[in-house]
Amino acid sequence: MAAKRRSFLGRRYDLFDRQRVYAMADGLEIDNLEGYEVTRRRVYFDDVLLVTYHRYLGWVFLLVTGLAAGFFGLIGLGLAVSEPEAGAIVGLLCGFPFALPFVLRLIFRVDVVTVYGRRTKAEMNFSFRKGRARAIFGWVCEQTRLAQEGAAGERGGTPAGEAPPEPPSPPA
Amino acid sequence: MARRARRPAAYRGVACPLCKRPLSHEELSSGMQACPHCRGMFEAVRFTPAEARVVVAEVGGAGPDGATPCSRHERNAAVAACGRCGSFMCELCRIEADGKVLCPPCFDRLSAEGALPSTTTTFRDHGSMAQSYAAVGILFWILAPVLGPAAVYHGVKGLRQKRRMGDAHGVIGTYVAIVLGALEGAASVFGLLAIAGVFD
Repeated sequence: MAAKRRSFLGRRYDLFDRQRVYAMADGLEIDNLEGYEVTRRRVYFDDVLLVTYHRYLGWVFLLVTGLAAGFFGLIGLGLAVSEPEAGAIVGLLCGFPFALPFVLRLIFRVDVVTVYGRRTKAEMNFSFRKGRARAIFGWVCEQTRLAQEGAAGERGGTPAGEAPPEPPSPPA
Repeated sequence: MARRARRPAAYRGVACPLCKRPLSHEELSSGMQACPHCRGMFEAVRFTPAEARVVVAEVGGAGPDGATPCSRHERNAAVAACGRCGSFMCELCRIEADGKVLCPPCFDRLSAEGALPSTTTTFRDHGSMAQSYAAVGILFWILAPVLGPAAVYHGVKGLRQKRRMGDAHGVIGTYVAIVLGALEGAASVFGLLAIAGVFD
């Protein structure tokens, strides 16, 4: 198998598309997935303008899961009047898969690391691994600083005939 | 008919990560920032990348020893030879990709042939297709005689694709899809034959 060219960093899954971000030797590679079609873009460390870190709640997600949990919970309560066991089953089996993400989102929220380049951006969401999010944020900033300090005024590149360098190891 | 890839949304530059409205890069600084539009707070590290300068040497200024002119720009001195066709090229023409130094026509040719993995921007994710076919074949076993072999086919293509691109992500899932596809394809064919009474 060919030498590992990139390593997985994080992902962002939306309602309409999915994005996976990988670390390469000289930048980040973003795979945009629409169905089974993948569109690949890159943000080179030389071109990074801004790296941001923020935490959000996601009101749409909370609304959808809360309404669904409430809906099935009400049905379960209604059934519980005449058939307690059936009501409990409906409430738990149908409502729990929505109630659990609702509660988890309220507790943990979502940390987002965004890397803005000249021509594109990379965005990664972290629901539970906050430490990894912070580590990746620091790693991207450090790699950008090193790349831009080293490339100030010049254009770097891999000499012909040499294999490209292994990507720097991101935080575990 | 060629498949047309859907274009991603246009990128407008630096923006607030919360409300997505454009921000002025010059007015930002490192540290906690407040978006002037949504008042949301976010942590930022600002960078100012240097503009890349391409210095092109001219043949006229190369001195008595002379400089070999670029094959496409007669006034520019050649700084390298194409690794594929050997033609001399100046700094403007020189393209480095996947460890090769190429002239523009050779770069276009190799990109079109798919010989430069770094230039592949749109492709089909065969590994994910294999996993989907394997999963659907388990749920709808009547379709497994078709979906099972399809999962194996796309799984093998996916593994080759990942090997060519140096991508280790999702390899295990693709192997699982191949094994499942093979098993469900064989099991479904065996089951259909048993129903048809072949083994009676």
